[in-house]
Amino acid sequence: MSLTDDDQMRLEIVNASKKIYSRGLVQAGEGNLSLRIPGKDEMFITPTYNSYEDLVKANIVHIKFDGIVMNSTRQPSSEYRLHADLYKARPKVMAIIHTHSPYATMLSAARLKIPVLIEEQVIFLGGHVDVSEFASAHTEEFSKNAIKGLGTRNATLMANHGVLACGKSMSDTIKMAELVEKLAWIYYGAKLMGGPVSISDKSCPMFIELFEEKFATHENLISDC
Amino acid sequence: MEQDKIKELRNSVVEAAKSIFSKGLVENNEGNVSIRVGKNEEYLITPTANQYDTLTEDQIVHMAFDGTPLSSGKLPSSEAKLHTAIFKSRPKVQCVIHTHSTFATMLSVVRKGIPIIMEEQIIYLGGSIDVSNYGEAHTDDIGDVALKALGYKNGAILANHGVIVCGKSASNAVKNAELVEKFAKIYWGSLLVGEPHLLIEENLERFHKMFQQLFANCPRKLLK
Repeated sequence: MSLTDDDQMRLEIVNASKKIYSRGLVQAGEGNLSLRIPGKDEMFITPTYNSYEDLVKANIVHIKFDGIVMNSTRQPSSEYRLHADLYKARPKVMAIIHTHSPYATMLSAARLKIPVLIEEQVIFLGGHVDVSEFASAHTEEFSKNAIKGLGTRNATLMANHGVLACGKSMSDTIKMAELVEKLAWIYYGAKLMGGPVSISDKSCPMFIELFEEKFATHENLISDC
Repeated sequence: MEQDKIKELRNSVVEAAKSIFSKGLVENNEGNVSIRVGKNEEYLITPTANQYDTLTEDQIVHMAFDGTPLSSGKLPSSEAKLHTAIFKSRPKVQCVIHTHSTFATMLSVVRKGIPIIMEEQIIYLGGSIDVSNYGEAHTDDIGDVALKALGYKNGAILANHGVIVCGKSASNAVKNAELVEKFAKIYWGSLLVGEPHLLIEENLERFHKMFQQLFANCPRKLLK
């Protein structure tokens, strides 16, 4: 890998970090973003104690999936294992974002999954947003539960923790993370008003094709949404 | 229509798109803005996979109402049919905007319309903001259900989807998109905090007149 590619990926993570920070999806010291290094069992990931405002390219950590740090001035995010395990489980995933965005985290604490509310949700995320089972952070079980929560989709809520989103590119994954927070807000507001009407039966068959064509990162054919 | 004029209209689409993005009414990859091109059966629309923060005038797509592309560039918004349905049935409409703004979308998934809670609502939008029947995006159906929900008015909520507004100018349409979200937020909050009082129709005649004189854009026969 040339130095230019290396630099480009670091820059992409910095830009994406600032973007989700400016949209209020993360606060200093929480959440993390990574990019897979194509063809290798390695990734770039944001550092631990990430201060989004001051983040620069040199802070991004180059790390192997097995945890060996390749080249960095900083320690990797303590949640690097979650990223590594998801890259290993889903070869098509090129970018991962983990946030503690507020409405989604509210639902994760109440253990409420988001049913299919709008069509956009099927196209980008592949359907409902599940809540994965609780596990202690940084453990093998934590990764396993989160990946199970994803099912065939691109995002999940993690019980009493936050959001995990993945995609075929960083820009897709930003969209996934933004959309989960927006859907969580919509679901929260709708529930307070008496409860939404889900459209899974009508919309899933029609929009799942678009999802499969454009945004799906799982390996298996979808059975439901 | 001469190229200078088209260029100006492309700029207006970009300006309106950036405006609704900066107001938080849309996020990247969602919603769309279109502007009619003169008296031809043509319009300019934001592209599919629209990135509002980096949108430029050369990305705006020029289309005929029948779907024929008249310019190169990115594919038009997949919801183009929603826009053409409104342009075709409402000759006065110059701009159509579709958003997934948060509070209005909350109401859309609960299928609650916004009754008349403020006079301002009548002046700009024509009255209550109704919820359409559920029609799937990207089909002819969505145009029909949206027109039905609009009636003679300038804004409607699309069931489990978002918002559609139109206006006699781009700035009117932007204003309408903003207002639908604001009234949705007010109505939602008022439902949670107590019970909203609705305005009494018999006192509202002069506001309906203002709407008809200033902002109505439907064919005259639809006005009460």
